[in-house]
Amino acid sequence: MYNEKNDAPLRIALTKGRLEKNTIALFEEHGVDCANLRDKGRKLVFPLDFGNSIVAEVLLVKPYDVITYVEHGFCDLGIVGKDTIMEHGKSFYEVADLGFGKCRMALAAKAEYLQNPEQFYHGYGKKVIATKFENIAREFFAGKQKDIEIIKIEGSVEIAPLLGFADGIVDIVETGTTLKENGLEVLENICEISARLIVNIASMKMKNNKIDSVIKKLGL
Amino acid sequence: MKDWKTAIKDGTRDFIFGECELKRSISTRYLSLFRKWGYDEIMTPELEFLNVFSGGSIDGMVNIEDIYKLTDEKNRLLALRADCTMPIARVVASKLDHYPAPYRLCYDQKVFNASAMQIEGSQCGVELIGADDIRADIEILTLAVKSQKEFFDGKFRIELGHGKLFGVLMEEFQIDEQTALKAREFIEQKNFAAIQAMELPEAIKLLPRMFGDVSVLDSYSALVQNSRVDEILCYLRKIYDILAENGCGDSICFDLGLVHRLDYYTGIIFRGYVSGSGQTMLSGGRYDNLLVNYGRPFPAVGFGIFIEHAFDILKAASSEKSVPDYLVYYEAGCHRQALDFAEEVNGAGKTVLFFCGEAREEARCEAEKRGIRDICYITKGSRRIENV
Repeated sequence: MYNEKNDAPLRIALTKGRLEKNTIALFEEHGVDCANLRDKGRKLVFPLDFGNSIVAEVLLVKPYDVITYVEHGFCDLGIVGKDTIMEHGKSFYEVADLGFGKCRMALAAKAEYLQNPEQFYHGYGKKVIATKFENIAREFFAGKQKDIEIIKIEGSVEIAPLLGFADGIVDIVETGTTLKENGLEVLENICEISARLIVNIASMKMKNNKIDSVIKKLGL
Repeated sequence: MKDWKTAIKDGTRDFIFGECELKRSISTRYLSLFRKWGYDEIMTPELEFLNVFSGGSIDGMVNIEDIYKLTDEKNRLLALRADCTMPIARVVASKLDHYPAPYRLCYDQKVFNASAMQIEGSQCGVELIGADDIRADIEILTLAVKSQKEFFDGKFRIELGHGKLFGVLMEEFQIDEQTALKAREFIEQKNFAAIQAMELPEAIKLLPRMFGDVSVLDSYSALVQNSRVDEILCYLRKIYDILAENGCGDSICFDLGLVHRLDYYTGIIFRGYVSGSGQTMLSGGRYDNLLVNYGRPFPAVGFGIFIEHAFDILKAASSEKSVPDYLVYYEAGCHRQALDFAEEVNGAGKTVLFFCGEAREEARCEAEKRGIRDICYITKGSRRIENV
């Protein structure tokens, strides 16, 4: 008979960087000691005690890698931004909105369009969009039946409209200050973004009790 | 320009040495299990007309974007086999009308899907076509359990749901199509928060949480007072009781939130998982609306096992290349004696490797390189076995 207790320990992939601090805060707020995660040095894998005799192996990796590890089942759980999920996600469970890392995905263009946003979509001409989020941009414009050309830019996409090689950008907007300083305005919000807890489909069924108790421990 | 001569495409793989043997032994064991219960094997073409997999009168066929397409000499659209069940349904509907239903068929074939992690994958499975009795569902589920027991005894689970539950709930609560679509997406993702935020009855909001052991059936039944829902839950309960009686109860769990391919599955839906693997090992269910698409309406139920997923778990144990028992060196003109020797030891279950050359010292080197223990030197009139 299958017994969950005999299965391998839980493995959790966390996004390093922007979401890292908030994740640690969430863990500590619910009584998970993160001392070794705060003082990580060069180590890559950290044991964290989630109580109920559940000690999970925790990895800090890049956003897209969280998706890869969870989707392939190398990790059972992951914490990653909704933007990464929308851009790359395929099949896993997305069980909780963690409420931090909040921002929005938006279409922005030169401020002059703000008077009349319709003008941006007007006509049959192709619009050039600079973005790091190719799939999100493509999906968004497909819904508007508007032809676009996507130029993939890794960082500081705001430059593209300034230089005149893009009509608009699709990007994460937190306060909008960077946009304003570069003469851009949000034309349309695409969606809200925040950190999500994702779970591998097989793990959810095979390690149900352990995963459930981690989710409860985190007050979700 | 890169010529890709030595590369293989992402999502495809080479199987080398012992890997081939392992892979073949996995499907062979599954097939022999299926044959014991009267399932006859069927092989369909790798290339078929696109319409076999897509279009037609029912939804739930293969997503057109996931199909590899070609054209034939008359510019008709062809597809690489994008699903195992659909060609089998085609055969049953168009060629087996002289045989009595129900049809019990099994297969071990490749499936090509452009959006899968494994774009070329092997599947081995069964279809029971022409029977809609609970016995048919039990037979297929029992085979699913048995197939997993072959390799993963005590380490697997089969989860069971029902393809009609979601639709019944939508009808009973009169949920409009748009909302239903959204709800289904959130249920499939187990996005507890997002579905909680929707304006829906509790019974629907709680659906993604309804998974676990057989007790979820009672929990859910207590939540929804509805005769059609109860009918579905009772049916699942009945199946569980029968399986439990047959000693399969331990490996069965439930997920009432299974809502994938709802326009295809019309009854039980199930998937299998194995401890230590993040992959789905098998997937199946009842699909009573498919066969009509090919001209003969038949109820049907079946499942497919993803061979590579089983392979990945089992390969750790045996991916080493097997070493032959003898290296056979033979002088020019002694070909016949060499073959005789091979025949002799083959008969005793041993394997040989013929050395291609004249130099005896090189034969010795080759045996050492390959880790072969014994060399048989065959010269005119003599045969000598030497331990390396």
